[in-house]
Amino acid sequence: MQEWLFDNHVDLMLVIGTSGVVYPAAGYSWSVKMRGGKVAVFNIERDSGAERLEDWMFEGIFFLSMSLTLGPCEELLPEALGINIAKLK
Amino acid sequence: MVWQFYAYRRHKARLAKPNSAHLALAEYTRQNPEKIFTITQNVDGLSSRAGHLETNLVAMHGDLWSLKCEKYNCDFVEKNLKDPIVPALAVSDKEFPDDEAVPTIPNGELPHCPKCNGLLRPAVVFFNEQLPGLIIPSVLITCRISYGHRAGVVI
Repeated sequence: MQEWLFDNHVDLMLVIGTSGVVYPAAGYSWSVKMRGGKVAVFNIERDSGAERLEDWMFEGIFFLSMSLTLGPCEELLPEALGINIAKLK
Repeated sequence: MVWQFYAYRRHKARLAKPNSAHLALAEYTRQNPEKIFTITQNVDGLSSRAGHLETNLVAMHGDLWSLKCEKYNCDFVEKNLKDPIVPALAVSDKEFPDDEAVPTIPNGELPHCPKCNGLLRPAVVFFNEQLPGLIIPSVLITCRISYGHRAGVVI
């Protein structure tokens, strides 16, 4: 999957329900960024498995370069995608 | 023990319902199937149950509702929505018990492969297992937006 993302341009990757800094999702974000795509994270919290200084720096660079929207995904997603859930039900 | 844990996970996942995020993504994908592709790390099958187009969805860690044969030389895979899968794997609504309290189930009472009689297992990537080589569906080639998704937040 990561190789595919390196070989193909993705305009925008939405990372939902994960911080996007933990592998394997981190690898996908990285690949998309390397190809000039944008990464938008939707997550309930800015969680982290970062323990060492290198991890924190890595995560800092990641967060600076990604759009991060905090909140419950069941509220954020319908709004971000412009989908009226009430109409679906 | 592994089967009992997975029987419990299946039982709990069946009780869960897709939330608004699953529904919104499924609907957006129906409206824009050429634009978006979803890779989910979830095994709960909730995206499918939300009506997500199967052609635009890959469950990279497998899903709880598929069983495969444990034998490396057997390619048997099946969809299996039964709860319980076999009588010995009936789940009560209590929490999953501690290790010591889990009764041992004789091998013969676990689900077996109809093709080679090997033991069946959930088609889910277990901890420490390698991801299977993903066959990227051809639809992915035409997709311009990709998307990663995990339901830490889902019910």
